Amino acid sequence: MEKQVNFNEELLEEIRLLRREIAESTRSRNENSAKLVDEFRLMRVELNKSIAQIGHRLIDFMKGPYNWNDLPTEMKLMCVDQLDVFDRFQLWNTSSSDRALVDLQKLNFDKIQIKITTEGVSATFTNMNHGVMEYKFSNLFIEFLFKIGKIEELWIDIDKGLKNDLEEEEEDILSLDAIWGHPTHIDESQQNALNDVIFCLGNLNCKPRKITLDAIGFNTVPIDQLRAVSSIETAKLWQIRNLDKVNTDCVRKVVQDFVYMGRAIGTAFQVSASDWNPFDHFSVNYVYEFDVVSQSDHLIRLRTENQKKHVLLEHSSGSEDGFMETEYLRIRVIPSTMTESEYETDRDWIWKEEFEMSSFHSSYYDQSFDSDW
Amino acid sequence: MSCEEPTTSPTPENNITVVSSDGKEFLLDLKLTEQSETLARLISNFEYDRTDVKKDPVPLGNITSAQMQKIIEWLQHHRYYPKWEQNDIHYSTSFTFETWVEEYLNIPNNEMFELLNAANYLNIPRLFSTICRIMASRITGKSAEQIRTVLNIKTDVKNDVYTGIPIQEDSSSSEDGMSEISLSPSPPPI
Repeated sequence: MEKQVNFNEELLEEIRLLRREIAESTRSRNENSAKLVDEFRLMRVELNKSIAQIGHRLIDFMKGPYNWNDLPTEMKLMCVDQLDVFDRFQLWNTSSSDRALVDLQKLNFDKIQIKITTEGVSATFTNMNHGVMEYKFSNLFIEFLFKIGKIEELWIDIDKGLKNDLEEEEEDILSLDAIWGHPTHIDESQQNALNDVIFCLGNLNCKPRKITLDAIGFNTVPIDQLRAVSSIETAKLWQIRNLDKVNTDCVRKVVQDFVYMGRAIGTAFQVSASDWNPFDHFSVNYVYEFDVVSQSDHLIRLRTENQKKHVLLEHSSGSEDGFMETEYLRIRVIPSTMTESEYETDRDWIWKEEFEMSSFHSSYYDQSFDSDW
Repeated sequence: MSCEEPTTSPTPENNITVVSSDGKEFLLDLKLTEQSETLARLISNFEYDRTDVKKDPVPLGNITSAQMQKIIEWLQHHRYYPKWEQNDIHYSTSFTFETWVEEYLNIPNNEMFELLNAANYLNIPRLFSTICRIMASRITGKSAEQIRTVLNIKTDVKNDVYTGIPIQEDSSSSEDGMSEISLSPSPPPI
């Protein structure tokens, strides 16, 4: 019996040992398999990383050399921002996509003078890197300037050239006129060039504060074309210098626009003339066509379609060179509530000064590129 | 502008690791990363400037190792320069650069564009602005035709600006001496 008990105990002990061994081996196997799983996970991460790297390198290799056209627009604009007008014009001419790119980057110009000569059209403006520049280019350059420029003042001059050849015996009268600075009329090519400039003006993207046309020598001022240009319509001030008597209709048409087309208060149109008085001419020939509020020797006030607005015509005269008397006429839209005491008739020199173009050099240092950074 | 460079020895605490798109790791001094707004913001967000924070490698998936190397060269050169201000851009077509910058950016256009992209991605304004000016200097004073050649632009403008003569649509032009070397990595061995 005792023997049987001992045997049972030994057997139990063996079973315990066996169970312990099995438990230990299971634990170590579990640990090993956990380690294996961890290693496998790490390998998978490394493998994925390597696949991604190889993918990147393959993509980099296959995409080929990086070109100007591959750059994002914003980055290309940063490069364009560093270029001056002339370089931008050249870039503008490389391709249509670069043309669109350059168009996006605007440049500020205090003043641009377009000169129409017998040899073609030229533009003068201040350029911050080169000072005052004069470019003699095709109309394309003018179109370009109008597209990318934020222009404060625009002057359109015809360089008519005085006929001063005193040896031309047959043209005594013209020669005498030339001595006194009287111009000859512009030729057909200049008239065509002017038409082209006015056409370009139609594409002007900005709204200049002031647009001036020097009409000396004009056979006919293309007033209808000018009135149709939106930048002229929206300009705070547009004016015609040296308006010839053959173009008297200009004043009447602009007054019609101001009265019937609803211009903003403060909008003004000015005329200067040397051998006739546009104010007197208007008051004698055309004033009856309009609804007159008041009229005097130097002032005419007209009603407009809008009850809140009136149109005021002011006359002044003076001598630009102390030699020839110049007549001035200003037409502006005023609030109907404005009283006569607010007309500022004694301050006509201020608006008369607008006819004089300041030196390009004076605005040179104010010129700045349109950049935010 | 040049600066005297004091000597400092980088310690592991003031470094971070960046990983380029082709898997190469670069140890970068935290001082250098101040020039990159992208990295500086990342370091600030993850508090990598603290010594007790574990710094994981920063993957830069858009930048190859060659570009990274070039950028580190730039960062190291400008390590002690004053902080870049936007007003530091001076408009002038004289386009004068430091000799070091001229040598550094004496690279083909395609590499320059890649570097510009990388500088934009990492937001390193001084490098970005300098590359823009160098690009502008390569354009300035050139005719439209020459610009087409330099920038490898395919034209679709039909007539010459001045003469009105039709332009030959030739896109095979390439810049002298460029395209042989590239910052793009070499293809992986397969």
